[in-house]
Amino acid sequence: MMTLAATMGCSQYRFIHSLYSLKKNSLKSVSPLSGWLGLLLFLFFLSVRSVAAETPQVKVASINLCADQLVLLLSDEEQIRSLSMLSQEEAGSYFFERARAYPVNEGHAEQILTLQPDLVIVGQYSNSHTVAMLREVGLRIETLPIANSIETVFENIASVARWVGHEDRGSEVVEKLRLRLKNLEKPREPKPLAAGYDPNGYTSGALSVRGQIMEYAGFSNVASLAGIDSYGKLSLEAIINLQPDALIESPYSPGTYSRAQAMSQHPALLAAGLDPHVIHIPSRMTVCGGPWTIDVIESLQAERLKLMGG
Amino acid sequence: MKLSQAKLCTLLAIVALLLFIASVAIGRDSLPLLTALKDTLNGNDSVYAVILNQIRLPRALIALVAGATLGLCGAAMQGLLRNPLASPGLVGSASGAAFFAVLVLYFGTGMVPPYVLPVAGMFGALLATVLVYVLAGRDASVTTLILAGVAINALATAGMSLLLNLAPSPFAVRELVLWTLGDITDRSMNDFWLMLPTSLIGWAMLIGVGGKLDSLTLGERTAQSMGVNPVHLRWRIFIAVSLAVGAAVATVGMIGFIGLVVPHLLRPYVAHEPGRLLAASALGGACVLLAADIGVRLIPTDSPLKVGVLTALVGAPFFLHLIVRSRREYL
Repeated sequence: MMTLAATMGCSQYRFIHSLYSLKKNSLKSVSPLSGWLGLLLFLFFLSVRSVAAETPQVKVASINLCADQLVLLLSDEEQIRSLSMLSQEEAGSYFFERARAYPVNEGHAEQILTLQPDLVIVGQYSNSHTVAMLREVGLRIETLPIANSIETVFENIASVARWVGHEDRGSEVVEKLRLRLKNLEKPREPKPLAAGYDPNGYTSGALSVRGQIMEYAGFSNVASLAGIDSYGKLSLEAIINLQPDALIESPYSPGTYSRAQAMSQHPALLAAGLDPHVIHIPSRMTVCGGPWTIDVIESLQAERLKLMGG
Repeated sequence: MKLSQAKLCTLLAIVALLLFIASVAIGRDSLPLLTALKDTLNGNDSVYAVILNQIRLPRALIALVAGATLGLCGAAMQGLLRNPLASPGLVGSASGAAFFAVLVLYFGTGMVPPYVLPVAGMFGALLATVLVYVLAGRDASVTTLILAGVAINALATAGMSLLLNLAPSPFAVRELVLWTLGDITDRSMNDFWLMLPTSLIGWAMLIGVGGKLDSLTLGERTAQSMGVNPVHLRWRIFIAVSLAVGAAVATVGMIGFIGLVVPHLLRPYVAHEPGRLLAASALGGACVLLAADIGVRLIPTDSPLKVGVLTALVGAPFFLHLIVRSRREYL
């Protein structure tokens, strides 16, 4: 059993932010050189400021957990008017600590309206009445699709970056992530058989982010053998028949009773001589797609090597 | 307790009006009401004015109409069936409406214009009523009608379960389930205008039913001798309830217990006369739903409480209390 370290975040964004602050600091430190030069620089600084004022930053509010995290990743601090309540939940939000610096909303039209954002990002399954209402009062609404593949995760990053007015940041993140994906060690045969295992036996197939993560990490997915494409239920019988080497779980309430752990100890499995290895991924890394998705692949790869070695 | 019909209705109407004003005034976040009102009157499209006119006003109006429908239809059903356990959901139209609304949510989230949901719900309510009619036949007895209603209810509920079972993702399941809980949050004036005509037709069909229900308390035969056509009365009430409740459910989802509890609550004040109960129960239902909808905004829960959950939570123990009290009275 292992826990993935939640370290790699958006180091590339800290880099961008630091670039911005560098520019400002250097201007400030040069300005008091002499009277005229100082004035010139001051005027220059003013003009820079006024240019910035001409293209005001998009003020954004999000009522969807996955959008919250991409907004935190891709926009400037002062752009963010509000995030959804779930963004501060440790179990579901990768940036839960950073999200605590921002006001949160419960996804009511009233709350969003008083914030007067330029843009509201909603999810595909956000309350349709609220979305219709916000649209009716004339707010710009963008809908973040649910990511069903790593490619959609990249597309979502690019879309959110474009919506919040930082297209360049989006393409930079996606480029880096593509590079990391490309540089992953090519999984060698044999591929251990694994099953994603959520409470009540729900599992993810090849047409889902979690299924693709398993594929990239060099596991073959029990769901495909059981005929599950995207999302479905894996029966105990199927598990016994297909004999997975590992169960990959990502429970939303960590520290409580683990279903996969219990499943791996089911009398029927023990009687069948099966003792699948249980791999644990923090749910904040699997609930939504983002740069951390690639981290999950990398640590699953390490987990696979451990499994093959032992 | 003795209260004249006029006094009772005036009292309830005043309470409903006060609750209506409170519902507009109270929100999860406070609103500078005077500014909002001034902006509205000046035709100024400020944020506060928009919140007042386009978010809070439709919410309060819909609570008023849906609550009145549930109370009125509950009283009508209990009077018609002469059974205190009858509720407006019995005719099958509520679950028909819910099934079609869930169907729209399942297939068309985000892709269809917002008015499709309530329209589909009302269509479902009508379809369920037609099915009950076909199943029970024209001259059906009350029992046959109820059985047909129960069967349609079961079918619609099974359909909803099937959709939940086949839902493409956990997010879809969540949305479908939350919709069925009953909620008035963020409905617009369009939703209100959509539900109003059908609700009014339903209400209008129940005008003048009161006296016939009073005769019916003497037994079907006696009522017949007094010039009441039971088959005609039955269908009139069934269709009225279907239309009004269908419109309410299509707009706000399933809100339980109002139709069951409110008539019980008011019955002692109208001397147990079903005819007098109708108007009082309509006003009472509006009061209860308005109050419950204020309640969900004031109770600080982490994820917003749905009004249907609150009415059931408060309604069920209250119903038990009524039963215990009535037992004491009969002893």
